[in-house]
Amino acid sequence: MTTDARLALEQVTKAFDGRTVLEDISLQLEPGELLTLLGPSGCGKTTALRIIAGFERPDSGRVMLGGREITAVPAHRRSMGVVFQAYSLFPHMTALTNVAYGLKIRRQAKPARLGRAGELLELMGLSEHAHKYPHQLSGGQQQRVALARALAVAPEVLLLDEPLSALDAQVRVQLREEIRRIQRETGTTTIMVTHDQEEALTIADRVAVMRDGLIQQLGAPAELYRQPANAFVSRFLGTVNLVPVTGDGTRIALFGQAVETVGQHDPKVPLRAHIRPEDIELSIDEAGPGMVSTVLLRGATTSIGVIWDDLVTPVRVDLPTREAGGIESGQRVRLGVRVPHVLVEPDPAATGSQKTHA
Amino acid sequence: MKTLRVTVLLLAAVFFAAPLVASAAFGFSLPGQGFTFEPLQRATGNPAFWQQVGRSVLLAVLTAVIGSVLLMGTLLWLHLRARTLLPLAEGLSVLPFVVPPVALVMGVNLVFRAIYPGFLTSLLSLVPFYVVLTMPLVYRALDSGIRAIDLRTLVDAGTSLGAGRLRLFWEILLPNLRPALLAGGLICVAMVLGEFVLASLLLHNTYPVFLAQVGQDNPRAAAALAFLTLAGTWLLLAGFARTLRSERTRS
Ligand SMILES: Nc1ncnc2c1ncn2[C@@H]1O[C@H](COP(=O)(O)OP(=O)(O)OP(=O)(O)O)[C@@H](O)[C@H]1O
Ligand SMILES: [Mg+2]
Repeated sequence: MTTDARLALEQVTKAFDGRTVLEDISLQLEPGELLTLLGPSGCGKTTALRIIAGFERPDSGRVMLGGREITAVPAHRRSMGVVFQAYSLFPHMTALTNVAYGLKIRRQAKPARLGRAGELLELMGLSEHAHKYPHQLSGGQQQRVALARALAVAPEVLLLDEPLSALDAQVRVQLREEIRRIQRETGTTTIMVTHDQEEALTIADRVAVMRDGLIQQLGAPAELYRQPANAFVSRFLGTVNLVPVTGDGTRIALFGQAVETVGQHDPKVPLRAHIRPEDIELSIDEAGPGMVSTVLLRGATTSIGVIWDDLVTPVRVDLPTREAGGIESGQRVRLGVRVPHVLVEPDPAATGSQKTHA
Repeated sequence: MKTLRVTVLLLAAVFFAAPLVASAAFGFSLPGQGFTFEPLQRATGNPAFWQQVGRSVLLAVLTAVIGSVLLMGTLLWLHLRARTLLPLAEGLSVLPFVVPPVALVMGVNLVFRAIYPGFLTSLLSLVPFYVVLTMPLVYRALDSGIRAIDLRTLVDAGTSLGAGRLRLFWEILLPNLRPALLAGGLICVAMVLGEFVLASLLLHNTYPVFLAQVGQDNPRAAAALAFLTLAGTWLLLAGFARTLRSERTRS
């Protein structure tokens, strides 16, 4: 593979019919890196990918590859493999000829290209399906063939647009691990679009979270999960309790305990704290202000719903299952905070906190 | 319920089949002689017959090729670049149904006689008319063919693998649009072989015009030929449907 496949978007913007879809997107990928682009439906993920692939032109900004600007290079001259959200195999070609097609365009002799295509299908575990047509393959098999087809031309960059979204959960997990393995083996710089947060966190070197055409945060999966830059990222990556609180500018009172907030906040507005279920401490206490309402075994963890004070929704606490042994609904409990800093945002329920309401 | 369905089916079969059977019976028999090819042979023995069949076939092929090329180009462009114009194009495509052929000929005649007086005297001057006449149906055949494939994704996939425009068209789109193109071509053949009004208005001797003339003095031959033409068209359609079916289940 090419060594310097450093891919970058520089201040890319794009509007469709006067509606901005991408706003000043900048990102850079190191050679061999896998970045996932995560965001809700319609936030512009596919559009960003299409601009990189050359299917769309940005309104402004630049696309760079290996230090060269490629913004104006037509799509068929860019060295990018693409796997699409929709099934995209050529219906009139077998799996084998589909995979070999890119090599045919590159004028490789027939025996050589069919040999290479066969190898790739074998790598995908599809040898016995090589001579089938797309309509004779399952969804997962089709996407594997599509991946092999994209890899056949040894692209500098691999672009995957939700390649797994049409597949069922089990196939999805299996295939995403295969994608990661092959991506590592070939060392291909890769962007994978997804709206599944677990998928994004598990396979990526870095994750970019997008919302309404803007990158909200870009960083390693653990960084995004532990230190979300804002409330959107916090809520988008996993479960989070939103607890109405009041603060004094740098600290809030949460579960009867003073906790520092991430950054400063306006003490005059009602706030709500973001706290993940596994960041809450739970202890059984006859005189505790909370009461267990539900105990839900999920496997390795157990989720406990706690009615706290006069909060309307129960607080969710996740404990390792082996620590949750004696807990039953109806028990009185006390809650605490395990993390040093808590993210807060102005409470959009403008009536103020539920406490003053009650 | 079931008897009703069967009755309706039978009635329809009789309604469509009766005239056919009648014309075949009429065309392939002579009073007192029973079954015979004689009237037919008399008509096909006329040297004008083969000449006019040849003319109509030429017209049909040219109409199919020119119409398909024009419409396929337009439709691909609309689907890829200007989707918002598709409803408008669809509306425009049925205009030939609304404009009567006489008006069409008069209009074209007015314009072309001024520019190029010889235009309408050439047989090939029928081709533009036929392209226009077949447009509504060919448009639908090609459009549904395009809608049946994921055009955008196929084009993008081919492009990302390095295919330029020509390659995309020949190697990826054409093989997948072939059924639609064949259907469009068949529609052209069927319509051109049956088109009488324009050809006779413009004084061109095509096969349908010949049929009408034969009908004047050898009505049995005309009936036999009409039957054979219909049966031939049906066989073409049936053959086409079979190729499609076997293609879908190939390998
Ligand atoms: N060709 C186009 N013409 C007009 N609007 C478009 C076009 N392509 C995308 N859009 C709009 O741009 C916005 C972003 O679309 P995009 O496909 O990039 O979203 P996405 O993040 O990939 O969503 P999803 O997760 O649903 O695939 C959407 O509101 C969409 O309607
Ligand atoms: Mg998308």
